[in-house]
Amino acid sequence: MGGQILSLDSKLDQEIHKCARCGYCREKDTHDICPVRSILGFESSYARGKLYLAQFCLKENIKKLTPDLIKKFYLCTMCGNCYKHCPLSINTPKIINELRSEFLENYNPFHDPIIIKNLVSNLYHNPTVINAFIERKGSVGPRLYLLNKNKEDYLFFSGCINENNKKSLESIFDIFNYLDFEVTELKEHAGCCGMPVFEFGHKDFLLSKISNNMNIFKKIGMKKVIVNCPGCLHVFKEFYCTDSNIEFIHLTEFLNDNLGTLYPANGIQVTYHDPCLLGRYLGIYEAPRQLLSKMGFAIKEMPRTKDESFCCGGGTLSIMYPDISREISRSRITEAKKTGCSVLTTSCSLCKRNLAESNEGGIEILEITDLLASMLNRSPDLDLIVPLKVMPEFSGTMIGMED
Amino acid sequence: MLKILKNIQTKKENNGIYVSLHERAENVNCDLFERVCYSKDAGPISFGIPDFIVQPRNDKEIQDILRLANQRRIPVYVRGGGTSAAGGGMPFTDGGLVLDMTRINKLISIDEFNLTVTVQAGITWEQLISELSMKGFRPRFMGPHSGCSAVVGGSVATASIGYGSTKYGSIGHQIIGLKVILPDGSIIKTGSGALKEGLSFARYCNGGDFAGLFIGSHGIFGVVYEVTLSIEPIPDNVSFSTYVFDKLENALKAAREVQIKCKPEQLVVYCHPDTVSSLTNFEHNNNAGISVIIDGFSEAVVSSGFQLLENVMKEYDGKYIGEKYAKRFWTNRFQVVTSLMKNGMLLQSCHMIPPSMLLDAVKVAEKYFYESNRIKDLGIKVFMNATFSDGISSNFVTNIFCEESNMEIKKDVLGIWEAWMDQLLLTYGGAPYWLGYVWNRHLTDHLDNNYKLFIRKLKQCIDPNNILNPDSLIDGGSDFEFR
Ligand SMILES: Cc1cc2nc3c(=O)[nH]c(=O)nc-3n(C[C@H](O)[C@H](O)[C@H](O)COP(=O)(O)OP(=O)(O)OC[C@H]3O[C@@H](n4cnc5c(N)ncnc54)[C@H](O)[C@@H]3O)c2cc1C
Ligand code: SF4
Ligand code: SF4
Repeated sequence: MGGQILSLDSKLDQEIHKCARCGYCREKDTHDICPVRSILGFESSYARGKLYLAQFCLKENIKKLTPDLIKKFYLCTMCGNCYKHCPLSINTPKIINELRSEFLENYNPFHDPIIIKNLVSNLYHNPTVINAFIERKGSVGPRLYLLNKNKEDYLFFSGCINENNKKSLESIFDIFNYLDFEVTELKEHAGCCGMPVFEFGHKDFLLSKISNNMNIFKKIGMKKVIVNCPGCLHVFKEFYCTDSNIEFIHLTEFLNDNLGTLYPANGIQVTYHDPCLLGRYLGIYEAPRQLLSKMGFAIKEMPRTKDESFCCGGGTLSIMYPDISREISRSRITEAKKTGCSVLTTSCSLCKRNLAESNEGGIEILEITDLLASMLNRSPDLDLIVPLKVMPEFSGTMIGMED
Repeated sequence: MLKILKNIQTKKENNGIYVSLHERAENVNCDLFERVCYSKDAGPISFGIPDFIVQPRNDKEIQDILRLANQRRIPVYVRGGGTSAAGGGMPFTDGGLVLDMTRINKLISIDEFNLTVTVQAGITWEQLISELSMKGFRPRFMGPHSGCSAVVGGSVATASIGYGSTKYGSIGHQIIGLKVILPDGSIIKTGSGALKEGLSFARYCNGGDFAGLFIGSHGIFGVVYEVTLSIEPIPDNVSFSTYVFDKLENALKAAREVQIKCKPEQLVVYCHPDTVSSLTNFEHNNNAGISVIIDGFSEAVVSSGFQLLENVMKEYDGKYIGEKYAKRFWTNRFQVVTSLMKNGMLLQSCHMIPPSMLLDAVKVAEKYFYESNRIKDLGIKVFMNATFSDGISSNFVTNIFCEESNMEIKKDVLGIWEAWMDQLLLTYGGAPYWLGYVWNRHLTDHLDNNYKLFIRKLKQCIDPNNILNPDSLIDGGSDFEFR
């Protein structure tokens, strides 16, 4: 009885024990730091409680204690806000991910019908994140596209969300075309980036994806890969880049670099939601904002913005605990509505999807690329025509005209 | 078998209580792993695992819970931000109910003319300061160093000392009135609040200082629900200065004189060369240092205060080393101690002593901590500083930091810490303002019997079933397994 049950590497063990229980991961000014705590309230819902439970796991025979204990570690969106506020820089989401991977290796935590339904039968057998959200057979995995203009070549990794949403993919292609990039689908099929299953704790799955995808990237020989999904981008940058000199670029960075001065959207105010993975994980805050400014929008920030941004409730949590996830999304939408803006923009298809599912009206939720495409007037059936309405002489050709 | 495993199952008889609790409060939790999380504060000891956690939403829920607790004889442990490091308000044995106050966290009203703010007990200091600053005000007492997560109710119950204390004393000095839910579920307001109109504008009226009963008594007499504190407009002018000294004696004399003559907002003395160099990053070896913050509503007031300060410092050979250290100390106020926690587990022993005894106290501490090889062998760090508070007393802080993950070292250091509590009580008569498991065992032998009897009688009278924070009673406490 007792003894060390989990075989965490000693660094992680030390990290878990570093927690001084100061509670600075609980609240910031007038807000909750942890999205899960904002709904559940109790101590185990945020980092201090989770780290204490992690210490407890290391000390006790947790075999007896599953699955209730394990559940506590899946009640986390991995948003990283606790890490940002921890005076000791304890990376709680990373610790949680390692623990999840231990649990999956040692025990079978799939007692939870929600996990079985959503994760095992959908996601695990057909690993695209889209499968985890909707029970849909026949969804396709990410594809690779060659972007070519003069001597500039890029690879575009579509990601499964965009690949399974024709409209959004077309919007992106419209923008590429507008920028005079020729888009060619490659016959080589990339696999899932590995992120969704990795977030559940399947490190091996990610590792297998890395070698597959890296081989393909290397074979194609492209040095610059454009990615729209912050989740894919995060794993590419964090886990794929180590032995290659491929540069992974977020779509908003690429567009911001390539678009000239745009026709102003008359200073219409929009608010912007920083996706956790793009912002806190990758530090990309300015490119999407600059892009919006170039499009002529004025950004009215929510109180919690940039590295203080509040999670949309997505990620693993939205698959396993959709009710909690929706409540988190609703509170983020309420915060956005309080800015008085009629449009909430973001630069992550998953955030958009997650927020849109909880939207009870009164605000439009759109990706920046949706907005840009609608400005280019190439996606006429897109709901938001706000900028077009107030710009009577709008014409796509005026965008970047002087270039 | 480890103690913790005994409590794995929720007891069968608790099912009925759970239902009754749920009839009275919305947020009730009896999940084992939730309960485990409430068995620890910010100190090094794991306490008993409670049977239930309730996060009340209003006073009515607390009243109903306390009435049920009386009927069923359930011990109730009140919890604020859980940053107490001395086991105050923690269950010493498994069982009982934790009342987690962090959801009762609204700022109720600001009275800009009479200069008071009324808040619910679960509001953090950071939130209070942030909301007040939007209106151009600040509380006179601005919270302990743990203010991002410590809540006002917790600070009332622990008689916290912190920012603003040099000029305005501990939180106790700045409390105008309290609304308290007594153990039997009845509600009282103290001071002027006791009138039917219920306005809190004066503390010492209507028959006695009953707010004082609840300040520093660690929740044994009632659940603090609302707190009215004094506030002031935020001054526009501030001067920050830090001085270093060759002799601690000089620093202490200078500090005392500055406190009297310059009325600084805050004055902290770094009492040991290690502390001076860690807190100021100042290279040279100095035996003591002082950071002083003086603020006011005109440049003239602040600069004349600074001039006075300079004169005093000169007299005692204090060397000015710039404003940045004091500025950091003041503006990053809630990050000062937490940033030191990178040195490992924090064992605090904050206690009150008169400024006249500080020099002797530091000597005792130096002897105790620095002349022992064992302490060096364990690789611990000790920070010693004193905040001059309220003109009469000072808060002498010895923060010990040690590596957390080595269980053997941890045990030894805990022993050193425990013995230190005895030393400071025995050798120079320091008085702890925090109570709880860590202090009570040492304190009980030093307290006058009549005083102990008086407290017990009071407790018996207000809480005859001994349900509220029963383990925080001063002579409570038994040997406890260190985990
Ligand atoms: C990094 C760090 C720095 C610190 N710095 C300081 C400092 O500068 N000065 C200082 O004084 N302390 C300091 N402390 C100790 C602690 O933070 C303070 O005592 C703080 O005021 C406790 O508040 P809390 O909300 O965390 O209370 P808790 O720890 O939750 O509770 C403390 C006590 O108050 C009781 N209590 C809580 N709420 C109520 C209520 N509503 N009604 C009745 N009783 C209640 C509890 O039962 C318990 O006995 C520090 C601690 C840490 C970890
Ligand atoms: S902020 Fe960091 S050190 Fe403090 S309780 Fe949270 S995880 Fe622990
Ligand atoms: S990563 Fe986000 S959801 Fe998870 S514990 Fe930290 S703040 Fe909460």
